[in-house]
Amino acid sequence: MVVCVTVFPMIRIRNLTFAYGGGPPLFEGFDLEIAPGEAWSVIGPSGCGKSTLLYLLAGLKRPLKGEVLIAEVRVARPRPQTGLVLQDHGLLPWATVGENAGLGLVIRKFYGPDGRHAPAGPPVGPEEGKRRVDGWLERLGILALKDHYPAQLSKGQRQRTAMARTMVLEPDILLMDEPFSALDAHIREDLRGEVMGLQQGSDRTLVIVTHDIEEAIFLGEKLLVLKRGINEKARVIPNGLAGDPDFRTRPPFQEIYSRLRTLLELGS
Amino acid sequence: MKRRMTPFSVFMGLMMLLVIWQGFSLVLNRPILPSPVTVLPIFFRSLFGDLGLHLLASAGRVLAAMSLAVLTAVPAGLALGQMHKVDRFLDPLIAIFYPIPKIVFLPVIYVLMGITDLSKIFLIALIVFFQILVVVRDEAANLHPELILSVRSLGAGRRGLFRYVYLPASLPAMLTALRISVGTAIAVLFIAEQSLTTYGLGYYIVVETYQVLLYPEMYCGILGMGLLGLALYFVIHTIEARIHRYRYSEEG
Repeated sequence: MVVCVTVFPMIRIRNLTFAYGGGPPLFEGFDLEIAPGEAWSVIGPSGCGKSTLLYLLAGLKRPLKGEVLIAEVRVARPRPQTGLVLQDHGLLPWATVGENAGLGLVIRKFYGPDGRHAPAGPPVGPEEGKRRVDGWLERLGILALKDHYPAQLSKGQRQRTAMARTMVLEPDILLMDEPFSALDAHIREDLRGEVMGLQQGSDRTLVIVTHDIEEAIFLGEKLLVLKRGINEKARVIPNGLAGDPDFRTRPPFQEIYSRLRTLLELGS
Repeated sequence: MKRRMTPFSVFMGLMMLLVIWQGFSLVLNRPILPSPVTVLPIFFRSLFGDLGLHLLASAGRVLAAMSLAVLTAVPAGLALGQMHKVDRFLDPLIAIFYPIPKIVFLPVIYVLMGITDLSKIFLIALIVFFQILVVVRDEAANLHPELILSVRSLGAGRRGLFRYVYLPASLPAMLTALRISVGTAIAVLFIAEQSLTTYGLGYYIVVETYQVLLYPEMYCGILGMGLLGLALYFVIHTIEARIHRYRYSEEG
């Protein structure tokens, strides 16, 4: 007996064209498919459109032509099940760590389960909400800071709060835009490990934008390399080293590293 | 330069004021500065009579004006803070209009709006409006784009952003602007009430007492106006102190 499972891509970009008001296009006729549960790194020189791609996936920008589909549904506005973490944490300065982490749930309650601003399913009750907030703050090591304000936190702690805020909503896609580039080296390493820990054993799809080659190799099972100028064809490098803490010393590292460098140098 | 106001410090301030007042009235020894010993009994007696009605009329006007200003300036400021093109276009006009003492429009407003309470309220609202408009606009415009994007990605649409980002972001500055404009609002109220009305502290002080040389009663009116200003100031200050908590924590 054959069990037939249709696997549709989690993210499908079809014939995407995008440009900023009057400027040259960053993407033209661009196609990409990302399967559910995959972890992708998007890397490229600054100005290549990697953050733009993420905003298109997040529904914060609209394509000029073509379309972005998530779970086979066209993205026209931010999708409630998609989580986004930016380089600048974007926390509310007047709210505590706990309040910031719970903000998504508060907003969902404000709109009700309308399927547009919040998922259509049964809403999260207050007890479940508190359990989730505390659970994520604890997992990310900032539960003790629950009543602190962002101004009292270190940059790393703020980014952890932003991650908790996103994870509390239990997204099926996690989009991250250079989430660690403003951090000191050792904190960056810690948080990378944290993200990898979130990813392993989950069926969440991860797309992380970075300009750091090693970070891209550590976090992405597939590496999408963008270039300055018009991106027409997706250049993808498969990477078996993702999640391996000793990735730097493994045999394929040099090969992947130099393929990545070559593509990056071509595109800059 | 933020000092804590305690009931004790307010009490001490009042006591010092009374002592200085008493001293000056003894030294000057003229009817224009009666002693607080004369004024205060009359004040407390008339507070529950005639003076109370004047005080209520004035308080009503200034509260109506402030509410009108808040209800119009906050949405307008939030809108300008988000619509950068409109803001840039209107900015020169606002910049010119902002420092003009709006009291000079008093006759124009009387002619256009008639000699009603509404014209007095409108004049005061006009002053407070610009104070609030400018700070709310600036607070909204200075929010990090990342903050807006993050909150949008959590599901917030226009209403959600207004409720959870723009409103709390501009509330502290709005209250500060409101508190600072209490003095001006009451000064303008005093002038606007001197004519073309029969109730209000301005009318009471100038027409009903000063012009008929009832100096102790005049001071009752002055006390009433002071009380009104002080009460408004403290109410706003108290709300501010509650909301402002996070600002006291270290900025990073």
